[in-house]
Amino acid sequence: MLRLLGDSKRVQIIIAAVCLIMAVALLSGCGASEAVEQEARADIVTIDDMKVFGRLSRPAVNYPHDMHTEALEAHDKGCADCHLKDERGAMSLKFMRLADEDEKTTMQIYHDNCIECHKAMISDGFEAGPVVCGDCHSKEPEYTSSRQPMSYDYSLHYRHVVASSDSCSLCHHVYDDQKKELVYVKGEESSCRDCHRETRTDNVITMREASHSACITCHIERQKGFVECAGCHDLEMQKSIERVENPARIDRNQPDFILVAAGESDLETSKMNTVPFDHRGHEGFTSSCRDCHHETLKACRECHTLAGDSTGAGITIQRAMHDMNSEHSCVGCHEVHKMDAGCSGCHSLMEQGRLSQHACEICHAGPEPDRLAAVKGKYKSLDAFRPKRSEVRLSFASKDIPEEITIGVIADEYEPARMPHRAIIDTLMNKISGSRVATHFHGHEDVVCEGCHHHSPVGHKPPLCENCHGKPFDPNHLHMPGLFGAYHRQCMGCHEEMNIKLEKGCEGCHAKKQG
Amino acid sequence: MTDQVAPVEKKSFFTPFNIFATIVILIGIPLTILRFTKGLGGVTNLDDTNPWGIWIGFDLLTGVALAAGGYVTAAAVEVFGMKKYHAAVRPAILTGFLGYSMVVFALLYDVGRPWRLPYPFFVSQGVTSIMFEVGACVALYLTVLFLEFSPAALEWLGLKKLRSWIVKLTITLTILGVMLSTLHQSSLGAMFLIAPSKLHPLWYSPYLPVFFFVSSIAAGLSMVLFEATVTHKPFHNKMDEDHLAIYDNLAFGFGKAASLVLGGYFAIKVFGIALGNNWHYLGTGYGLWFMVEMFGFVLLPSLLFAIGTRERNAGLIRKAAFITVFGIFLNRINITLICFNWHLPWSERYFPNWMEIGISVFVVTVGLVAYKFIVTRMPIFYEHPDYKEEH
Amino acid sequence: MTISRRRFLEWVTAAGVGSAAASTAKAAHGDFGGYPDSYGVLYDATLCVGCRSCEAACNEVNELPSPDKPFADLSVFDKKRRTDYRSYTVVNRYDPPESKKPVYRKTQCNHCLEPACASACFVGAFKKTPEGAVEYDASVCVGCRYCIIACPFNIPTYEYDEALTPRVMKCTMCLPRVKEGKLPGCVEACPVEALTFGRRKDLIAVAHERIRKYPGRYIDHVYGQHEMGGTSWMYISGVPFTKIDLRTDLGSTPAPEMTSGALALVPMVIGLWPVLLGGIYKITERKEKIALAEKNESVAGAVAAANEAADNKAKAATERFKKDKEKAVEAAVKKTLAEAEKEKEKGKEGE
Repeated sequence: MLRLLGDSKRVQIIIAAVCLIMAVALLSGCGASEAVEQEARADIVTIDDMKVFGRLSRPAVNYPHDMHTEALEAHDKGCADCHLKDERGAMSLKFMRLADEDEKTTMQIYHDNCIECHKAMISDGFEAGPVVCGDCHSKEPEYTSSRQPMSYDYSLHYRHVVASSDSCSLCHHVYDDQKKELVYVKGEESSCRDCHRETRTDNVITMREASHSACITCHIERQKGFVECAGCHDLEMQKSIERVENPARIDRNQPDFILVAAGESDLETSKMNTVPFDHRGHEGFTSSCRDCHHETLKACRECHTLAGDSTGAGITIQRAMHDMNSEHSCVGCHEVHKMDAGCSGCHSLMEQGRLSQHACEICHAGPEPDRLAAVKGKYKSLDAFRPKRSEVRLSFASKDIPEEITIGVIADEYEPARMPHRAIIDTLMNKISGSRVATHFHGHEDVVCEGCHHHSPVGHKPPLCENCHGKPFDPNHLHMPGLFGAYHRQCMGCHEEMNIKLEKGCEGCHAKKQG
Repeated sequence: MTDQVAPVEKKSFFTPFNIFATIVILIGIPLTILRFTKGLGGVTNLDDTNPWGIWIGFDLLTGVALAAGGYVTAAAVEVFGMKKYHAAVRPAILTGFLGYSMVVFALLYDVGRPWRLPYPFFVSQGVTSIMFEVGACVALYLTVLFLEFSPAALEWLGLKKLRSWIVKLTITLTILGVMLSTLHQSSLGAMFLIAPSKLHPLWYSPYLPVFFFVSSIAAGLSMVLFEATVTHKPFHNKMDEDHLAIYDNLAFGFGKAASLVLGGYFAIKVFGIALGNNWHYLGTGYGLWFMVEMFGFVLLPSLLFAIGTRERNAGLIRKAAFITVFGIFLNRINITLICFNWHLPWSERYFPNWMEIGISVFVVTVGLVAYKFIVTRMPIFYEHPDYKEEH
Repeated sequence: MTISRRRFLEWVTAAGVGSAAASTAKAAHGDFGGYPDSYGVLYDATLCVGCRSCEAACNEVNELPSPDKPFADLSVFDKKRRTDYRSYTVVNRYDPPESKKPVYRKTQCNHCLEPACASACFVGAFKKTPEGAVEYDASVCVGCRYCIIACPFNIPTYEYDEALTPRVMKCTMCLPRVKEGKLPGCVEACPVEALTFGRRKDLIAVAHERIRKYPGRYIDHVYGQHEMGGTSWMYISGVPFTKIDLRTDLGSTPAPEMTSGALALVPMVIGLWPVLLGGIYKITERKEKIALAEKNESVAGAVAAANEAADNKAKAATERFKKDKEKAVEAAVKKTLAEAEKEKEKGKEGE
């Protein structure tokens, strides 16, 4: 084809050069956007230790740990071949060293050991990892991490209690300032994370270091429990961990029930009635103490004071108890449960982020703070502190609740809808009585009325939808649907949320008019 | 300088070209009837997502670009004073005039209600539209081209006074022609500025009007060479000495210019990618296609033009002109069809059906027939003996 | 240079077009926030149940041809549909991983504040009305379909099967009904009021209020508040907008602004090109004149020099000829004298 353009040698060279430039441009562009086959593994350790020395000049290395332990086992090598023991005999999590000395030495440790080992394996005829810089330090690594954080719940804790024959001292310790060593103190056991954090503070090692050196060492010694990364950190493996359904209650001298009040120093200024709190009952709704005691097992008020304290990150006790978006606060946790399938039918339609006035008195049913001293030790259960609800609570006899309601106000293309009114209320009441938090907050039928007969006073003759919902899109009330929309949103919305299957199509609720 | 008047020969009607043209026209007429009885849906593969097809991509956009030889040649000779190419002006103007006429002819098929084409001028003006400007400038430019072409027809008809009056307008018409061409060549590109979400980033740029204008210059230069090459043998007996004498010099002169223009075009395209930071697209399928267009049909002919000029190799220059002409077609088709709606899956993309292609071929053939009629009768390739003037 | 009437008219038209374009170009620079009290519609993707009542109502209100499958047929959701010549609006079903149940989205003209179609139309067939609707006038439409190219949402459709009266077909926001104080057909028909009709500015407030009230339910963004310079039809959704086929890469630049820059250059070209090219022509002309004069001068000089040389040559030749003649005469005289002498001597000897 070149000859078509002439026999001139120069022309042919030019054409060849043009094609070459094109190819180079194409390949470099290709390289930039080429999709690499990536495998997600739970055992990926990202080696970026060099970052303590400054910005990394090469991408961090995604190191598949289990792959190596498995491969090295076949060559009779174990943990000690890579992880050195420190002066106390604990295994260092660092590779081939106890501390990061300087940039060059640290880098050499990795390169000398990793690459040499790989080279040795390859020359011995085995499959081994990369020896070229870019194959480890790749921008789009072959392995990505699918590591799930490991959590420790009552069930797992109980299994360890049984396995260690109740010796708490095996895991739990506190630091004795006087003796400058770790000792076991009965009654002061708490979560590892209370002291062991994400980063090192003073001479307290990180949670990662603590958990790996403590747990894995013990697992190796006793030859029970997982030793490889995936065992704890792979999602499927986590699901396969045997669960104990109702583990025995951890005995840490915790109260069965308390009257929650502000801290000692605040008692004078605090005015709210105290909150009777069923601690024992609530333990059943958590997976570990940390769900509420997220920093320490001390009482909330120790860090969260009335005015806010630095130990509590400035969060006042009011916010600690009532923050709707927090997973640790009382109200926050209740908010989450409002979205359970049995509750969300009504609760999803309500504006989120607001508490009704009546909710306050339901919780704050205890004595005033200045009477705390007087009642101390004088009550055996929380029955003494039933909430005094100021609003009228109505009960409805079954015959007073209409059995069926015919909704035909705007019937046009369809026949009037026949709503099984009493059956719906009975269903909802059943769901409420099956839930402790629901029963506590709204045990009477009148609350159920308010689920549909909303924004109106409760009574034996609640308003009908058409009493408030009329023509849609009133410019002054754009948020309020018209009657047509109100019916369908209320009914269909509730059904959707509570996963109660509707018969397909409009005719499920109202037949089409003939003719 | 003696005049060569072709001897009148009795020729058979059934030349290859005439047979081909007859077949095409015999197919084109029923297709035309179909178009206006079954609507666009009856003869095209156009749909709601792909409203423009080859009638716009090829007949309109490529047609306008390739007809740019008219203004380029006229400007070179009249404005920039390169009198040596004088003999190339009339053929270039004729190509331009017929080219634009065929563009309008094709538009009569593509547009939904062609009888309403005068509406933007007389009924309702959409002055925010780039297409309004394109329409106005094309209409005006077609008038200019008609006037620039008319002396040849008037000479043939023997209307001396009218002819000499129009000839006096030459420089004004030329300048107007360049201005109007700048406007509508660039605006055809500017039309796509409104759809950045639909045109591939390697082809879309705020500089689209500049790209279209600069490439139209290269298109015009190449098309003049292309047309000179393909008419050289068939109409040899119609060409006078002036015309024959510049056959190679035209290649050298226009080839040099085309080399520079294409080189500059390549550079500004690269700048366009830099401006949009679109380098990463080069590594994709479309990126490869873009580089085929840029390297194979812009940079390569630029280099070949340069070599041909340097080595006085007119044949190489003509080949480069062929490549450039195809490259312009490729660029316009890329922007209107191939790289437009690039987000969509291939199942939703457009490909013309045989009827659309048939009408496109029909339109071009009508143009060719008109061309043949004119050059065999009117003083295009030669100077009329009555009007030997100093130029 | 005399100016012909034709030329003058051409210039005036061009200038008029150019300045009109420029002034419109200026107005189109993104400061138009929509007519102050224009209407809009808010679509809530979390409420829509995919019943297609809106499609049926639209078809009825606009007297469009019947579809192939009835509106009660929900199997149409198995394929993604777009608007076409007999469907101003369609609903599509999506099953994104972010949602436990299917999500539906209604497609129709978004009635942009600064519509691309109106900007693109070269006969001004589209108008943004004060009520908010973008209205199409079929009585001037030429059928070039540039509006379909321009629309970033791929909404306008065309009657490709109409031979002589093809029209662009798209949602009208039921402008005639709205002017009478009625609701658009789709809005009125929706049983769950997934569509809210009201003043655009109020709808934006309603949308943000809904997001505030139910933060877990919505993505915190009102689609159409700013996209393409703002649209009258806005969307709120519980899943990312790209999952319901709403492009999030369109930007907030209104469409007219994308071409107003190119249009603004037109008067510059019209004003400057004649000057530039005319100037070049004059310079070229002048250069030719000077070249011609120089050529003539050098020709004249050369001719004069040649003449002079010829004169000198002739003079020299004449001189030489004279000299030669004299020599020849001298030689002849000498010869004759010598001969005479010889004769004399011969005569003397013969006696």
